[in-house]
Parts: sequence; C-alpha cells; structure tokens
Amino acid sequence: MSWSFLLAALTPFNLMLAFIGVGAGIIIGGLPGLSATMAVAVLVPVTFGMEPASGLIMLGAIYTGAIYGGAYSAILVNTPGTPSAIATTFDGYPMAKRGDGDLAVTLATLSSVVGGLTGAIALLTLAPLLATIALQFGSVEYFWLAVLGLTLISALSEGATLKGFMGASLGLLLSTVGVAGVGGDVRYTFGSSLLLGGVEIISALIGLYCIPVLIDLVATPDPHLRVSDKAGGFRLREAMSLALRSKFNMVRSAVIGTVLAILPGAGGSIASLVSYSEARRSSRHRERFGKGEPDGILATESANNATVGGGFIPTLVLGIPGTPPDAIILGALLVQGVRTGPELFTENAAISYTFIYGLLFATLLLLPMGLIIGRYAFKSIIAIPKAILAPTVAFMTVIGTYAIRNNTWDVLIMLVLGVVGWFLNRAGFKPSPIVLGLILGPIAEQGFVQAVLMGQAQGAVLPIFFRGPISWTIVAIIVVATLYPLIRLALSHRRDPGEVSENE
Amino acid sequence: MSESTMHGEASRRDIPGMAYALAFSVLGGFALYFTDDMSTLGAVFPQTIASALIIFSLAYITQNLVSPGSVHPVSGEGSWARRGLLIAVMLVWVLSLNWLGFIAAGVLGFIGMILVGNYDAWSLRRVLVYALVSALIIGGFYTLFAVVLNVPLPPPRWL
Repeated sequence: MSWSFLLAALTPFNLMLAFIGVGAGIIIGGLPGLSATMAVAVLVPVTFGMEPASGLIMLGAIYTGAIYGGAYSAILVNTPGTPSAIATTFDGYPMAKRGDGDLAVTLATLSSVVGGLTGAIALLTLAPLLATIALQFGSVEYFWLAVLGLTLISALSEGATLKGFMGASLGLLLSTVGVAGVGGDVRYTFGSSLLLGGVEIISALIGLYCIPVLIDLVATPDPHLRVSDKAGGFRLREAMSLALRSKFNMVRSAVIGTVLAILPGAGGSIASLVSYSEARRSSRHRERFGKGEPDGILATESANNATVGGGFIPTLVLGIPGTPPDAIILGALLVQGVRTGPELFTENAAISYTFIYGLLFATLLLLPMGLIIGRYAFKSIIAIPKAILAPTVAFMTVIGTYAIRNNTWDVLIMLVLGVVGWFLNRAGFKPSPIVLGLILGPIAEQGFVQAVLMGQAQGAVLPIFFRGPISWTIVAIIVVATLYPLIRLALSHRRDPGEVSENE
Repeated sequence: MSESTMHGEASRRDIPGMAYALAFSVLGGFALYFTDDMSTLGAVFPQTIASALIIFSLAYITQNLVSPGSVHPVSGEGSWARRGLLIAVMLVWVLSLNWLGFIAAGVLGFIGMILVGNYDAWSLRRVLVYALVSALIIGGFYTLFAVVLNVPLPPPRWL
C-alpha cells in the first residue's frame, strides 16, 4: 500500500512541482526581508487547481526551499534571508570573509538536507502514531486542543503573553463573522451580503503576513548587498568530511528542530538558536564559535530545515499548525475541502503519505538545486531591485487573493487586514496568534458549543469540559504554558537577580 | 517621586500597546452588544471570546499601570511618505479592479509600485528594463491564472 503512495509521489507532475517549489522557495528565501511564510503565502493560490496531495507537495517544497534559501544571504552577505537563518550569520559570514563562503554554502546545503530528511522521517513515523491517539478525541478535547494551540503560540512565540492572548481572541472573533457553522446564525455582517461568507482565511493570511513586509520593503533604499567572496566551487568532498565528523551535532540539531516545531509558535528561528547554543555548549572548541566554526552552520541549518517536517506533525494530525507557514498550508487544505485530523492518515491516507514522500524527494532535491543556485544564481537574485520586487509581490498578493473565490471584496479585506496588521505589529502584536485564532475558531467553536449542549442535556455544563484524562492532560499543559513566562522569570531571578532587574 | 523617576516609568509603559488594548476592550464590548440579536446557540461562543478579549485587554492595561515592563522597540526608520503611498497605490489598485479590469488596474498598480519603490536615478535603459520585466511578470501571472488555472479575472467595465 505504501509503495503506491511512494509511486504517486514520483509521478513526473509531482516531481516537477517539487522541483519548481524548491526553486521558487530558494529564490524567495534568498531575498533578505522575504520570509518562508511569505513565500508560501504568495504562492499558495497557485495550488488551488491541483489535487490536494500535489498542492501539498508544492507547498512543502516551497517551504523547505525558502528555509534553506535564507542561508545564502546569511552566509554571503551577512543578512539572514529568513528569520530562521539569523544564527547562520554567526559563523557563516566569518567563513565567507576568510574566503570559505563556498564551503559554508555547501555545509549549509548538506545539513539542510540532513535536517529536512530527519523532520520528514519523523513526520512519516510519528504522525500515524499520534493520529491513533487523536482518534480518542471528542468535541471537548478538540476544543481544549484549539485553546492549547492558541495558548502555546501566545506564550512561547513572542514573549508578550497578554498581547498574544489579545491577538488570538481577535482572530477568534474574526472567525465568527458571517454565517455560523453551528446554528446558522448570521453574525456581525451589519446587513452586508459581502460579509456573509466571513473573513476568507487565505486572504487574511496573505494580508497579515505579506502586506506589512511590503510596507516596510519600500521604506528604505536597496541595501546594495555585495557578495564578499569569490565563489570558487562546491568543495563537496571537504564539506562532506566536515559534516561526517560532526554527524552527532547535525542529528542532535535536527532532533531539536523537529521537537520544537511540534510546539505551535516555536518555529525555525527558535530551533536554530537553541541548536546553535547546544552545539557551542557541547563543543570542545567553544572559542571558535562566532568566528567561522563549521559546526555552527551545521547546527543551525540542520535544525531549521527539520522544523519543516516536524511542524507538519501537529498540523496534519491535530489541525494545529506548528509554524506560521504550516498555518497557511492548513488554510489551503481547508479551502480545498480537506479536513485535517486522524482521518487524514486513515481514510485520506493517499493524500498524507503521497505528500510525505513528496516532501522527502523535495528535500533531496535541495542538494543539487541548492548548490547550483547558490553557486551560479545568488548574485543575480540579491541584485533584484526593490522597484521590481515590491510590485511583483504586490501583484502576487492581489491575483492570489482574488483567485481564491473570484471576489474583489476578498482582495480589499486582505489589504485592510494587512494595513491593520502592520500597525498592530508596530505595537508588538504579532500576526501568528491572530492567524491561528482565525484558523482554529471554527474548530474551537464547534467543540465548545457541542460540549455546552451536552452539558445542558446532562444538567451540568462545566464538568463536561473536564471529563477524562485527555482533557485533564491538555488543560494541565495549557496552565503550564500560560504560567511559563512567570516560571521563567522566577527561575531567572533565582539564578541571577541582578541580571533580571537590568533586563526588565 | 522625582521627575526623572516619573519620566523613567512613563518611558517604560507601553502606551501604544495600552491604546490598542483599550480599543480591543471597546471592540469586545461592541461584539458583546451585537450578540443580543443572535440565538443562544450562535451567541455563546462570540460572547465567551468577546469577554476574554475584554479581560485580556484590561489585564494588559492594569499590568502596565501597576508594574510597567519593557516596551516593545518600534523601528521608525525609513520613509513614511513611501509607506503611505504604497498603501494608497494598493488601495486604488484594488478598488479599481472591477471598473478598470484586472489587466489595466494591474498595469497601473504595477507602475505606481515601481515609482514608490524606486530610489535610483531614472535613465532610458532603466525605464526600458523595468517596462520589459513588468510586462513579463504581469503577462506570466495572467497566463498562469487566467489561461492555465481558468480563473475568470475581472474584465473592464468602462469599454
């Protein structure tokens, strides 16, 4: 059975999508200022006409390519192409400055492939196991799961927990606009037929993630980035020898990336920083880190690419996105009518397994494509002026949003939400909690209302929310996640009271 | 309390964050008010979420008043005029889609965005290169969506 999924992933069409996706992702990720989230957001409408598995393969390929592409500019021009590549600058650029830029890019490519494969294999093996557990979930458990996702993204991702909660509530409230999924009420439309369909998820995602980037993109002139190193070649043999010597570091970083990606909000940037710190802590040559140590690049690039497969685990099994690009991919699946959850690994196994094998092939494609684009095309990519880049991205947001429902109203909502998102971002309200609230709103509402109805039928509403060990376990995690900033503060006070008061 | 301390505390209060929190609590109040027209089943979730929004917002304001924390650093670098112009160009672009049609609105929007995003001196060569690249990008995406994906892009109404 699994051979048929493997062969389905290997059709020329799917391989072509993986090839195009990886290439497009590398190019967008390589451009400083454009993140992997944005790469997926602007290209997601292209996949709407495809079969779900093919669309997922292309989106997964764009995502993995963009995360890897961020390493080019991190290494060669000391500017991370994506936030996930911030830690790659620490040792990548010093290597480039001393003339080892080509070696650093090859090391980044090898470790990205190792990390990407680790994440994808974890997805292949862990997701079905988690799906078996998720089959035990009822409406109450799904409600708590949605609350858990919102709590984790609020508490872990940005550091301002209350702002995260406000953003999540705002997203949940936005999800209630239009005809209610339960009961059929018409809510918050103010008599306008245009709002009956609610706020379209992909429009909101494109607006909240892309428009703020565009607004800031044109505010400053081109940085005139120059590649500091005359790229000589691939130095593949030398890089493989270094990578083999640091295989434990690479695998450990990949595992860190995979595990952290399962937590909503803790994406590639956190994973790469944690793995970098761990690589330095356990190294016998700590003093070399920050001065061009290959182990630093191997750790960060392995970890951030592992988040791709890792983040898909909660996304596909529970419908709770692990990273922001996963949120967009989840929205794309909802638009295609594919409901995520354990059924995706039983009734719709053809979609999930074909995609996972496709992701494995896309990750393998990173090796040749990454090396060739890095060697021959990177100088041209970073030379694209903002005067062309900004209208191209804007054009993609307009046509992409319109294509979802062939509706110009959605395009206007996208733009308005994007501008509002930009203002909110400036005040420290990040888009991810709002987006997650919007996506998880219908799941949370369905679970909540069903639980209330069951409770009313039994004469006691509150106890229904706390029945069974699964509910209790999720509630316990929610409490810990909510109190996490306070626990961290208390621990910091205990370690070094002076340092904390300075940082406050 | 000395003036410097007062200034120090004021600078540590997240005034924009508090203003947004206040706006969110008002929004939550409106959301609660409009649930009066809904059925019990349809109102229970928005009522809960609106109440949560009000509670979180008021908690944030209280936290900042009682114990001010670190303020979110806001970068003010870059041109505000270009930021405003970008929003204006995109707004005109989006609002004119139904009237001008997708291609005409797209071309005008694209040109507007080039003008907003360009910082270099104009030369004939630059104009020609930008025109060629713009035509290729608009033509490429139009072909992909209108021809390959069969998306019915809005036709012009003024013809």
